[in-house]
Amino acid sequence: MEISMRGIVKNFGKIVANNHIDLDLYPGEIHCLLGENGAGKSTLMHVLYGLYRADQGDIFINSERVRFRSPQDAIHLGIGMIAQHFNLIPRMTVKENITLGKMPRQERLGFLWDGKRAAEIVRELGETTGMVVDPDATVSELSVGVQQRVEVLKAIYLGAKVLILDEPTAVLAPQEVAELFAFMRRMAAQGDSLIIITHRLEEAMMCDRVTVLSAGGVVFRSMVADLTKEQLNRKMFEVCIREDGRECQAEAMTLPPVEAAKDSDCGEGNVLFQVSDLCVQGPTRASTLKDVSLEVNRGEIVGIAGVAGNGQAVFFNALTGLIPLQTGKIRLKGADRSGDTPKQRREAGISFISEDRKYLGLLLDMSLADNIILGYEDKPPFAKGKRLNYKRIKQFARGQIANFEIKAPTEEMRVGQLSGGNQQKVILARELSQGPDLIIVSQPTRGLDVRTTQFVRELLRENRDKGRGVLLISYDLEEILQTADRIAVFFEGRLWFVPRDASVEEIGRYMATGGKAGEAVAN
Amino acid sequence: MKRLRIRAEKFSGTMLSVKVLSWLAALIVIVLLPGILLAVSGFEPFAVIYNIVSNALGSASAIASSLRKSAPIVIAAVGATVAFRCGVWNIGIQGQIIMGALGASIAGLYLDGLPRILLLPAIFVMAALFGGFWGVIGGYLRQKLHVSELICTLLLNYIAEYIVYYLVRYPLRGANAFGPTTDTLSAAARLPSLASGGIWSIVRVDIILAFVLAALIWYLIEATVLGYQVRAVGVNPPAAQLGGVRINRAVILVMFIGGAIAGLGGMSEVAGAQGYLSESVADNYGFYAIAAALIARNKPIPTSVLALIVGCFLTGAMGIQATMGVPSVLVMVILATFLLGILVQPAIEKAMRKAFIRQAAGQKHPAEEKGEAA
Repeated sequence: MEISMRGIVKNFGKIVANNHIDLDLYPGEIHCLLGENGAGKSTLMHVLYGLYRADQGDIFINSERVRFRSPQDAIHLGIGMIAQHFNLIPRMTVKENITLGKMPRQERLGFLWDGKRAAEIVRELGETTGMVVDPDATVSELSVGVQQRVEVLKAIYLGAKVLILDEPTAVLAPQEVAELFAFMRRMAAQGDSLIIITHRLEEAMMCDRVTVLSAGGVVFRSMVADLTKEQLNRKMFEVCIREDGRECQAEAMTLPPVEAAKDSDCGEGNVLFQVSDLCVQGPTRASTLKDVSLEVNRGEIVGIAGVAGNGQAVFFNALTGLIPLQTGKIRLKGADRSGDTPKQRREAGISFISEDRKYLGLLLDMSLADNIILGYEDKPPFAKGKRLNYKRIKQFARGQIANFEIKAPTEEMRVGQLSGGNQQKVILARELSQGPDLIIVSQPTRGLDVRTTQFVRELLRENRDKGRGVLLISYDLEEILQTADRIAVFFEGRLWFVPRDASVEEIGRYMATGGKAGEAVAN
Repeated sequence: MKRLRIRAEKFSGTMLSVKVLSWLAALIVIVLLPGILLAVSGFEPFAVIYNIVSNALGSASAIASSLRKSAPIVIAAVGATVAFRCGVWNIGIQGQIIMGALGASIAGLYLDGLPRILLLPAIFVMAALFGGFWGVIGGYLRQKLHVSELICTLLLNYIAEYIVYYLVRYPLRGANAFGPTTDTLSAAARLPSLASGGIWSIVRVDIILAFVLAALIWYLIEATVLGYQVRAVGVNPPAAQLGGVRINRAVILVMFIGGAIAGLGGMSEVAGAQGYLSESVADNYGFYAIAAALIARNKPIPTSVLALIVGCFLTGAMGIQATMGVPSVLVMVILATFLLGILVQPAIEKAMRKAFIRQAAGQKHPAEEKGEAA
């Protein structure tokens, strides 16, 4: 199936998300869409999937003009999309989720669902695609990587010949990324085509063709075979000049090589934050915390790696005070904070940056200025007694917009209208501006472009150098390696500390099997 | 650049006319649908509409009775906005009006004889406390026992209604009352009129109170720390909670404030227009109030204006039932289509704007469009 998008224009109010974009997709190719946050990649794909209707422009399938009123139309013509947030029903089984859109019916009683046939379908799909999933498992029990597999199988079952994957690798462990690409190659070999949105150059280099978007337009396209990583990097660097009229360093566009973690001088008196013997019930067995203990010193970044779904989210929520502890203690600067509310913990000097910015981080329907004071709205200078001081709030918001280079026309813009990267900057500005002692941060760079990612990591290191403690939870191993001074790994709800001189492969083993592989001792 | 600015002005000018056009379309819906229904039922549609308007606004005395009728509805509608802004479905406005009316009557009947300067504040406070208490029950059940506030506030309406039903038949039944009502409050316990004689004497201070309350609630929601927290909870409770907002406190506070204001609506009926407590003291005001608040998107000032219009309509409609024999059911249909018209206006405007943009986009060069955006 051959797809051509011609002259696609999509505006959101005054923001031009797509400005006359042409894109071709040939049968049997893996096409990579590269670009910064807000470049218009997701918008373009949402147009192709029928979620948005383009203001102008046409889509052709095999030279025939098509119009999508809804994703149903796109699915009908063989286009499938795996969004960043999955559309699965957590309480239902894998086979139910996969066959929901086109249920197999029993032969004699046509109105009844044929569960056995559904399980067979899932197994057959597993054989043809190489993506094996237990048909009877409940989706909520599965790790994020496996849930993604279920989404892919669902799309293929519904007849997808073209698969759009929106940042599929953001939540995967290195091994899972390799598996995903192996699957994509198999699909392409059958003549199907795939579009993958990513920020990572290495992944772009594994595709057939690459299109770079910037500020809503195409700035570069090429066959990957004709390119080196350096050339592609330079292309994005050129974009960088064009975009804000300023020169930016070529080095800034690549992540610096992994540095050896610095030895922090953590004497006895430097312990800032202490978690001991924490047990917390999670939604699944793997994510239930089992005797988790941890210390964070002043001037130190403790990185927690691990495959998603091994207890990280439960750990984060327990540290914020959103869910109660079963047993265990949390101490900040020696004071017991185990029973505190989120507000008390915040006032004690902890700031929280959640992995789920839309659910836990932002008030999407409120303005940027409103969002940038959440949690501090009752403190001066934002509050004057019981009243808000909007003059100071707006002034502060404008200052932070400049500081963090947030792309927003005014501080009164609704945060829901900002791109993901800029939303994340709003959260960072809020959480770091009030001088916290400890920063607990989960997945701070998920879905961000290279430049913003670098900016965020630099910011965390800066805060460490100011003598603050940072607890960094991330599914991105590279991020942990690059940023953390000390590394621990979550596996099935237990926390394993990794020896200082461990290699990447060793850490990968911890992520896959916990401490059993190495000789490391728990805690 | 200059060319672009001119274009942009032209553009916003067209958008304004789209707005006007969409209101005209909504007005057609408002007039046409009930008009057809009236014609089918054998009434002269334009005569009916003319009569409603002239009964409500046609003369000074018509305006006076409209204002008098509107006061409790406007007050209760302002009360309804408070909890809605916090994402709490306070459907119990009706019950809170009734309890407020009960509080006001108890103060008015049993504290009669106090100097007026003490008596009126006592009535005010009792009405607010009774209404607020009735609201807090719903808020407490929601936060502590995780009962849907929608269901329990709805059911609390019936409890309030039957409490008053009982009270006005037995303990509070007035010695001089004809039906199951309390005695009429003494003149000292009634809210002051705007004028001591003439047409305007039937209008009391409660209509002014109504708009003062609307302004106060607007200020509370938009300009205070509490209001910020209420909005934050209304938009995204988990994020608000992680930000440190105490959700229980916010919900119970909005239920108290909203209930107290609705209770003042009850006071405005007992110590204002009606003068006594009966089981039908709140008529259907609670539901008009909720409709006005929801349609005006819980913004206190627009809500108060819409509630005033509803009050005027009800006043105007009373006349046509008597003089033209239009059944009250049909009157309610007219009111409902009116509210429906206001409700769909934004949708009509959006559709028109889209159609316009699509048409304009076909003619304009995209680079210029981008220029406008920048």
